[in-house]
Amino acid sequence: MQKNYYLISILIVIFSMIPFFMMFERKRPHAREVMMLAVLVTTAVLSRAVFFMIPFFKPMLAVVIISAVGLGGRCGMLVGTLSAFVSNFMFGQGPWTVWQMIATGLCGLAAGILFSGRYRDNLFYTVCVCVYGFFAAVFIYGPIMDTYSALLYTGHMTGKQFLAIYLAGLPVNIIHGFSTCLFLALFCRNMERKLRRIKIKYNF
Amino acid sequence: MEVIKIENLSFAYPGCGRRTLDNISLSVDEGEFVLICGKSGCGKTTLARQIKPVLRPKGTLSGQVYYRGKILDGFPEYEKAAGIGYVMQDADTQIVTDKVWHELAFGLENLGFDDRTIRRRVAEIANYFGINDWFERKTFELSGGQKQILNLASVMVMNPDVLILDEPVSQLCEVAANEFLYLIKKINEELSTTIIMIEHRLENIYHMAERVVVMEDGRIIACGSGREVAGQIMENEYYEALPAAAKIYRELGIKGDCIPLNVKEGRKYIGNIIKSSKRKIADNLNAGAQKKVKPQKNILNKKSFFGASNDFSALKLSEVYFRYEKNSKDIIYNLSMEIKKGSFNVILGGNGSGKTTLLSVIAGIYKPYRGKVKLFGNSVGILAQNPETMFIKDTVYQDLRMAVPRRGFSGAVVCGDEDVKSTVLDTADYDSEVRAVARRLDIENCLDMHPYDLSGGEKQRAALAKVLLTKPDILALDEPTKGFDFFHKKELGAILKELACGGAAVIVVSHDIEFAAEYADECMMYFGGSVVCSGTPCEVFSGNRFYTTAADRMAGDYFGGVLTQEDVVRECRKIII
Amino acid sequence: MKENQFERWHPFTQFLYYAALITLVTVRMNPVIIAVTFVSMIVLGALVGKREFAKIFFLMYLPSSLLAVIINPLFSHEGVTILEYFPNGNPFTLESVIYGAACGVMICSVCSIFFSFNIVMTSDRIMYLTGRVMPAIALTISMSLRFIPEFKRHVRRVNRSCMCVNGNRGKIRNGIAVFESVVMWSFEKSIERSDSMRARGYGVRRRTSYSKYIFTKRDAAYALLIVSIFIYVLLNMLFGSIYSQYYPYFKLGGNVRPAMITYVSYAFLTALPAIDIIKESIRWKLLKSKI
Repeated sequence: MQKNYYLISILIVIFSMIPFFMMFERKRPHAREVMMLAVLVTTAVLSRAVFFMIPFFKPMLAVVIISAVGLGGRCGMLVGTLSAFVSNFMFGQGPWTVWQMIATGLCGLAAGILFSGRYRDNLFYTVCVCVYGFFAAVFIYGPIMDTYSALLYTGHMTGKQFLAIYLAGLPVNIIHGFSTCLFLALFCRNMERKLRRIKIKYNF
Repeated sequence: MEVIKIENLSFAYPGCGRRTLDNISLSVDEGEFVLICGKSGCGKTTLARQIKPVLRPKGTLSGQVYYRGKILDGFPEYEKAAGIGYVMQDADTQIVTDKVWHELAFGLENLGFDDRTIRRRVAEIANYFGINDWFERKTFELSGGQKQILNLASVMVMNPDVLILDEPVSQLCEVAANEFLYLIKKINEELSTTIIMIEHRLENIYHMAERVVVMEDGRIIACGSGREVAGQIMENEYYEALPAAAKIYRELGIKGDCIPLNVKEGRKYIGNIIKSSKRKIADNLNAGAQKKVKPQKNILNKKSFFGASNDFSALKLSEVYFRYEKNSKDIIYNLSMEIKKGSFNVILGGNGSGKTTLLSVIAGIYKPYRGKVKLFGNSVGILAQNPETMFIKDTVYQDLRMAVPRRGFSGAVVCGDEDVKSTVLDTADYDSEVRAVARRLDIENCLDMHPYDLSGGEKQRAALAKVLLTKPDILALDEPTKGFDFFHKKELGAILKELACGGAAVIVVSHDIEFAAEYADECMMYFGGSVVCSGTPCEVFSGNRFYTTAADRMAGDYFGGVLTQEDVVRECRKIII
Repeated sequence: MKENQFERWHPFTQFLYYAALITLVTVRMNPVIIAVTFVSMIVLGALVGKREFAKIFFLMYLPSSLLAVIINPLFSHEGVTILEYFPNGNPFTLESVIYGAACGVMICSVCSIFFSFNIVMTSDRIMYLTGRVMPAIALTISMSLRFIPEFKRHVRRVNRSCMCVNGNRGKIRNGIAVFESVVMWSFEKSIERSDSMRARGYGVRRRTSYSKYIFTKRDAAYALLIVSIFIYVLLNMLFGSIYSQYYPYFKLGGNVRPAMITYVSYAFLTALPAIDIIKESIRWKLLKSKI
């Protein structure tokens, strides 16, 4: 009998995201929260769309991380998952959607846990966020997407295959990491400042 | 029966000594059409937002608002949300969802209705507003007028008995605005919905309202029917904003049957004056005809004079063709025109006639595929229609500083006759330059503020300052009067006139005929991708019947060549004396 | 464009159809099931996507599934029928080739399933489905879809302004300026935007999610059909009557008759939308010829 982990893994991924969505639903979010979330998702989606010509060189993760830094981990998770979902309305939905959702979402969640509330508008923290961005792309986003392709292509798990696929994916992930790092360095401070202003104006 | 009653309402924004609303009392009857007007910053929007509690700004409030005889705050959220509708100025920012049908359902979804009820109500409202044809469309694809109608419909679907409209047509073009106003009138008359409308473009609305409220510095200074109010504020500065007919009435100071409020009444009023004056009408008509010819001759002379020497040209377009894509249709088709230095030019054209594209071609952002754009100078500065597209930084000062050209760098714009040998960036120099422009445009006290915290007019001036700092020889403005009241237009006109006198060529692209008639040296009617006719405002408009100013519509037949109310008043005085 | 019969199905029925297909095709990798899905998805893709489907099928799906065919024997050395040995001594087995091929066809089928899914399940429909369970999330998605074109237009406008004012700064610096300006604009405008939401009663009561889709009798019948075939096939696959194995040797098993019934009913399930579309076009042709 051949075990197939493909379907199971997709189900696991979906169910792991549901608590975050339900939490959002349960607290009946305020208009400004929904609005801010939608605006950030749109920004992330468009930033992915702008660079669609250059493969793996995307600022989307950077935008998600900045949102998480500014508004917290839960928001980062939602921005991450939803922007992956919405951007695939443009690029096509597929089995990869759920994987991208969880991968981007987790990057945002971790960024929120690490930096939210702690971030100060200075060089040290900006460097920290940039370094985090690089590691998030290479060690969170990359492996998750590689797992997806490994499962898609082989359908079952053996350590060797996985290792080979991770190694093959490493260059791509490093490019992605560098781009995330670069965009964070360019936009993190300014965008965070703008976000902070809105937070004060909104009285979050 | 009173639907809304405001009693001794005062309001002040936090950290602001002055009261924005000062002891206001007003009651609105059921089914009444109330127009609230006043200079920008007089507190009319703040007042309207007090009637819609969820939109109330933060601040200290005293006094009481009653709704159907009970205190408004005492009503449950649900009834306040459904009973009082609020439509705002910007059509785009009010649309929440991506499809028209969903937008219509949005309010009902919020109120927790079930599918069947929503389906019925949405169908009903779509029929009433004629939305059936674009029911399935994406909201983004709609025109500005359709968007605003959608906003109105999606508020009306909740079946409010009070509808508050905060400058709903100020961003729309004339045609769309009139269509919208027609719907408002229809709602008011057929459904007897109470309408409270804020507006500053009064020409077409003033006579429609049953009651007009004029505000100044947070107080109500006049209240009553349109004619009564016009009588009450005769001495006030705000009278200037009233329709042209009423202004002519005041300037002339001749008593008629009543104060004329629209073109029809104004025409009758002027006709009566002429009849009662001693001279025969025939003479006047002759005189008018002669005057019509005279200025034209002058212009012809002037033209040949300028034509002889090209030194005065700032910009010359010869047989320019432009389109966005190979297979799309031409946006600019066989366009030739010349802009002179030190002149104030207005290019007039309807919505979607490609005026913005034209400016981009002039600025060299788009290259024409045929023909030539020749610039006699170094740069074109464009003030975009939406000044918010100009702001990048967190304070106005930083933003303006960005725009100062860097000196001593290769390819930088060399500024005037100043010494540019030094490659050191002189901060003090930047600073003085920014402050000088800010002083000139009267935004010095806004320099440390966030650009989005400025008022509409200040935003525009800040953006203009940014453009001026690049030291353009040609200054082009895209729809600068859109959404602004009479007083702001006057200020802007004066600033632009001054710039033109300083030697810059000013190009204003607009569909504001009154503005063109008042300030332009040279008018161009832009239609179908090229200039249909050009000349002084007098030459361009006095032959028109539809596309002309209200003053010309009223008095053009009697005098000829009268475009502004001052012209009319002057001509009338001549007859009387 | 006019919707075809399949696109008129209620989103819920469509969702059931796709969920059933994806589950059955991936759960056990039964080669017959995969082959049937492959064929009917090509038909469906051609019906809803026409030329575009052909392009994407030959340029994207086929090459990526070929990759799977090549990759699998390189990594997997199970199986008893050894065809050859690799230079490093690992066996090259027939079973791994068969498994790779099955995998490749499966990838191709899954991609084709999602091709028609992307055309048929418009954002409206997906939002309807999410909205039933998670109205706030669905609203967020709807808003974000509404903002995308507007933000794009604003980017163009800012770009134009920037080119005039901050002209000679180079493409990259200009791009950064445009991005910052657009971000600022979108943040600031969000306040005004949420005002409009609140003015229309957002947050007053528990939100419902309106749908313009009506669940017809036909939808109910189809949904019932899909669910019952799905359960039938799934049970057969998990507990017996159809059976497949790749390693150590390839084997397709089960009693012939129940297996045939299962495969045929699965084929019917996958072909359901295609049948609907074709039926409609034939009916119209007949009507036309009568006129």
